[in-house]
Amino acid sequence: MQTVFLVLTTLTVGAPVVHADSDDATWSQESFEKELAQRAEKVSLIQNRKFELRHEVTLGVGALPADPYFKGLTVGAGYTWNFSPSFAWEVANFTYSFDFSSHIKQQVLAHAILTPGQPPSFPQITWFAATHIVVKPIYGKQALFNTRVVHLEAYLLLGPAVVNQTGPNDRFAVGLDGGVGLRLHLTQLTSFRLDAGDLLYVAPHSAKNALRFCAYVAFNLGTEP
Amino acid sequence: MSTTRGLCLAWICGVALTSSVPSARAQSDELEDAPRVFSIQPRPYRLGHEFQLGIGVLPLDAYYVGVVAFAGYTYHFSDFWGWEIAGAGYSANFSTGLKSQLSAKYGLTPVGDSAAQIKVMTATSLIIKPLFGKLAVFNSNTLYAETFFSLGLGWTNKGDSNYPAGALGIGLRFWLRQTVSIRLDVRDYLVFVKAAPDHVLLFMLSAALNYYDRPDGSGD
Repeated sequence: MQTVFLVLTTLTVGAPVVHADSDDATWSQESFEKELAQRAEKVSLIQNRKFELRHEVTLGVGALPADPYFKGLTVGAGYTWNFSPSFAWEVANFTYSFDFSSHIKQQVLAHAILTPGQPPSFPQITWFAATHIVVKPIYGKQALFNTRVVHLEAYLLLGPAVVNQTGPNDRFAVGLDGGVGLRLHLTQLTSFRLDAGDLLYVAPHSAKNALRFCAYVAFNLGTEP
Repeated sequence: MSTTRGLCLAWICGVALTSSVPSARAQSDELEDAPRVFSIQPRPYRLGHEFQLGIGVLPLDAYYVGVVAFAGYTYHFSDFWGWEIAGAGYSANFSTGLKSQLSAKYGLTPVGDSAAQIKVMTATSLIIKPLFGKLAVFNSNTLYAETFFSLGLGWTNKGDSNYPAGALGIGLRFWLRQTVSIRLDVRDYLVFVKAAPDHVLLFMLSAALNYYDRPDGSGD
């Protein structure tokens, strides 16, 4: 704001001088207005962020909706160290999945009962843990029905993960988890996050991916309210 | 004489202090009672007639992944309300391999509804746009954005049959200029094959062309 004020003040105070020094008063006024418009276009102003994050603890619920053989209802928790306004490290994120058999799995199992041999096994994610680098390029505010202002942030995250599955083989798998998210600041201490991502994981006998969605409540610790 | 003047001065100061206390309290009360003032800037971008072209994906079906081409027209009544008069998508579907896997491993072949694939989805939707604002990108550039929700009715073509459908959505719009914006949409089509609907989730990225023909301020 001060910069804008200084620029505009300087230009405004300087106007009569330009006017007086010039022989052609009309030309001077026009050129001054043109220059003023050009300089005003160059001035951009970004406000300080109202909500700064530091140590963030998250609790959330979500879903693993895409596997053909099971649907997972998840609960998760995490800790994120926000070391700058644009970058952070989600040091740990742990997600546990309560799995429900899909219609396809039930049909296959019903069919397998009637056929001889070993019943088929369908590995299901029990839990996964990940650590992420978080990039937060976008922060801003939106007017809600032109009456209230809400602050929000968009971010990307990427990092390695460990996956635990059911079944006799491939109990543990390693992978890569990436996604995008949107944060809505409620107060300086609390915010609401929506994450969507994809977990790619490989084990000696399989390579899979799991689409995941999660809604978190985040508690921001370590900054002045 | 000086004592009298001193006493007078002290009395005047006392009266002034005493009388100023209720005044200060009243002022404080007034400040507390005063309505909170927000300063909302006028919108630099407004929508009128919007033509949308998008490409999307249907990722959730076990048997196929759909790649969707989408087109739509929306009339915006005001800054907060719009009507997507027509929005339609065609899905080119690609097998996930599950069908052949079930056939090879277990000798099973999906039939009926579970094997049917979405081909066309259409809806006419009410659009509500409660949030508009500007975002800083890496603290160096500003970007104007809008958040909107949609609620609609339509029909879908699944397999060889048509079914009624509902559509619920949420989206983000980023303005590039007055006439062009980029939209991110997430839409859930509720396909009523049975009484309990099937969910068809669509993620879509669109370019929107906007023609605004009203005088400034009429969109408020």
